[in-house]
Amino acid sequence: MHKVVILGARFAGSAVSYWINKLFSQHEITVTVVDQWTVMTYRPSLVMAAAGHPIIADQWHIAMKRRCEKAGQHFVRDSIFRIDPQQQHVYLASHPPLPYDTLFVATGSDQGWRTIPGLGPEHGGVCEDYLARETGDRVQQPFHSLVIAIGPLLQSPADRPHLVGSLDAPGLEVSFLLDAWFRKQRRRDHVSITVVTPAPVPGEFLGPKSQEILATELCKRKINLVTDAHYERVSHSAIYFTDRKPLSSEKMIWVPPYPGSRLARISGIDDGYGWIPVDQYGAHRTWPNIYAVGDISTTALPKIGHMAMLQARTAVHHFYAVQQRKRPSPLRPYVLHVGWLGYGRGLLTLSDWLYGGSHELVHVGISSALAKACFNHAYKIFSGWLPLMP
Amino acid sequence: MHKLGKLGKPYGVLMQWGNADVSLLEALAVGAITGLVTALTTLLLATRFLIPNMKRLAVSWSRINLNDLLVTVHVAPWQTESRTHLKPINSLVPWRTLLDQVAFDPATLHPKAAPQIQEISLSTIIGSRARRPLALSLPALLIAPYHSMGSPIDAKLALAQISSVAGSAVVSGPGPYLPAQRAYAEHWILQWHLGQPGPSREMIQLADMAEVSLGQKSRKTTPAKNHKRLPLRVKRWSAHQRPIGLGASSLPQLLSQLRRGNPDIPVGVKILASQHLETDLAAVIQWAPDFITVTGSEAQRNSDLSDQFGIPTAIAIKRARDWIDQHAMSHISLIASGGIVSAADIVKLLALGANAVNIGPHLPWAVNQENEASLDIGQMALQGSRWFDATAKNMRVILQSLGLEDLGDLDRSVLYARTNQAAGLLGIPAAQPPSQGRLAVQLTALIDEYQRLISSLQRQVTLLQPQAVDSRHA
Repeated sequence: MHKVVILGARFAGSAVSYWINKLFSQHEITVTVVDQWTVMTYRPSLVMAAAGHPIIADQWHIAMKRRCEKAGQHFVRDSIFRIDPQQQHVYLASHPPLPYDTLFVATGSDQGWRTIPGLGPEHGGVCEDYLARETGDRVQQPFHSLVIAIGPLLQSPADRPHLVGSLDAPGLEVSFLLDAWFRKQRRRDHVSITVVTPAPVPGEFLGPKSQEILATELCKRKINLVTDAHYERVSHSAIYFTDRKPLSSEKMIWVPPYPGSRLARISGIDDGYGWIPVDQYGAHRTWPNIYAVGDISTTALPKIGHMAMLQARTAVHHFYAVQQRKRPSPLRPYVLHVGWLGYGRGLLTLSDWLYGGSHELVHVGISSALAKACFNHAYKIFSGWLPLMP
Repeated sequence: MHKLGKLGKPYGVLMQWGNADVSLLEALAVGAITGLVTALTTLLLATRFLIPNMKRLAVSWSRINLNDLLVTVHVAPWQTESRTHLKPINSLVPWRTLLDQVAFDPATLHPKAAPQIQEISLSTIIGSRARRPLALSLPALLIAPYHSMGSPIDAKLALAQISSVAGSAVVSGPGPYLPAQRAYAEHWILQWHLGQPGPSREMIQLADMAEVSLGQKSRKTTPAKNHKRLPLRVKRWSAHQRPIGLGASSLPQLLSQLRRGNPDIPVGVKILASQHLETDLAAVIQWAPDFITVTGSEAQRNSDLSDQFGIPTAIAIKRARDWIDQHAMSHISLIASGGIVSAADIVKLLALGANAVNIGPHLPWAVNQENEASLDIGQMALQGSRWFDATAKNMRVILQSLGLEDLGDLDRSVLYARTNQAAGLLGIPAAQPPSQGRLAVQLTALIDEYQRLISSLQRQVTLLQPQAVDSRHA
């Protein structure tokens, strides 16, 4: 029987397991999902937790192990150490090597806290449940200055599209939500908020219209914006740049740098920068039985959940087409993103601008926020296996 | 015995108390007052401490010893770093540990006061000669408790989260490998107890530091029997485990195995602090460790008898640092373990010679003071990180008060001993000259008297000896 192993059970891994379950019968293949957590933290909701509501961080856990086992898939909880593409084995920390015939790698990028000297998760973050919880608790304390900093994206210079910032969407969302929350707490006049990004504009991966709306909104809400930031080092009370004066701050919230994946590097399947090079179907350029989906692949820009789900669909359908000797469809990327603006409003962007297109649909309002809230709750209720998957 | 007065003593004199006669009525009155005071005190204690924590007491009775129970019932508000929750009987035990007998010598006019508190660094480096030394923002390594009210796995995961937000590291501790613990921790220390199944090569490579514990947890594991009845996946897992041999002779091989598994990280040894500490250190140094963890007698361990062994942590660190410096081994980091509960304890041990400390066994109890039966990882982590945040602030306040900007500037000159006993044991100056204490004066006089007596006896013996020699030769 064909052995399929899925590494990672978050946005991309969950979507891969969904499509495999949908396209293949249990008699054709055995599926094993490996992740270090039995529950998935729904990360898009963590911005709410970081914006003064730490309890939310523990309310958005989805039982992926139960979801997979309910569908007849095996779930192994372990740390993934290395992939041997020649022997077709995955080496785990505390289990025997796991053989595979087809491998889907969906472990995402590591968080490169240490790529900037002095930086660490102790400075505050939003991309993990414990970091968002801690940040949400810290902002409740009295202070006068807050910096929300976006780390750089350390991708290969040859990658296209090319982005400078790791992902500024959660940073901007936290800034808007905190602005609204501080005003509600009557603290806003005493707290300065600054967003620092290495990108030239806010919303780097969105289209020009969305970028303009974001810049206007930041200005209107008196949120300072620092663009084109080149970080030199970080102390616990200041950020030092290579080309401008240090920025002091009592509190910080970081979206860390994305340096690629240690797993890809150790396994020797990366592009030299920690990302797995894939073709338009998500298959590895050297090892055709290895698919990379989500943040770990070179083409998953921007690194958002919607793109990971699109990639998972394309990769599994390619795998199915190869098995069934059919013609696969390549990935047609586009950006679909809704960002919180606070006060119950959201910014919806549907655009192919990043990929050379000219289409950009933008909507600001309560309906956008409602759409995002509905998606979030549906994802949680269906444990990632939505009735209608993108 | 005195005669009765005009009114007389009802029922006659019952007993004599010092120079005063005490009648039965007076005895009864005193007894009643004493009983009333005792009852009120008991009621007060029960209302304040016991009744609110009765459920916790019931849960913890079979797990922890009396001292731990007192610690448990005397919990303090968790929002700020506090040691009172770990100092249950202040009025009865003036000095909880030897560290309490040590205080800081604050900077006043000289040396000058420290600069801005925000600029004070708490960072430290362990294993400076390793290719990838462990750099920490807070010199505290979190270890999970042997006893916890809830699931020990939950406690470990919460500590891993706390370590990341505190800028510290977490020690894996005994028990099976927890992938989530590794995932949560920014810095993960693989602790390997002798006799347990050996860590896989993959585990060693995932670690940021590795430690072989030679403590009391080290014991041989019994291989599982009746393999035929085990499920297939368990058989495969069991076959994957590689038990490591025991015995002191195998330790060098174990350390070299760790180094082969991951040549970049610091590798060290954890030992119990004994009276022959220097001999142990000499043995350990032969294996060229990057760091040594010394566990004092205050450490919480897994046996009721454990507290009866070893020397206090403060003395152990002082002796270990002296020995390391004497042998020009200052590149070996020294980690203190045992009884550390506050920022002051951490700074004192660092001043005595440690590079970092182990901390954490008491955290889950204090965190879990409200919902004792059900541990919530998130709440534990949140409250624990508050504690570490407050601890870091207190450490900065201490350093500022000492006129220092960096932990590396700490040495024993910033300490003084509140008692002559601590001064003698730790080799630091005492707050008061020995002659000022009454007991000390008496002891000094006694010693002087004995010295004079001994000198006199020696002179007499000297006078007698030639006669004996002469008679022998005669």
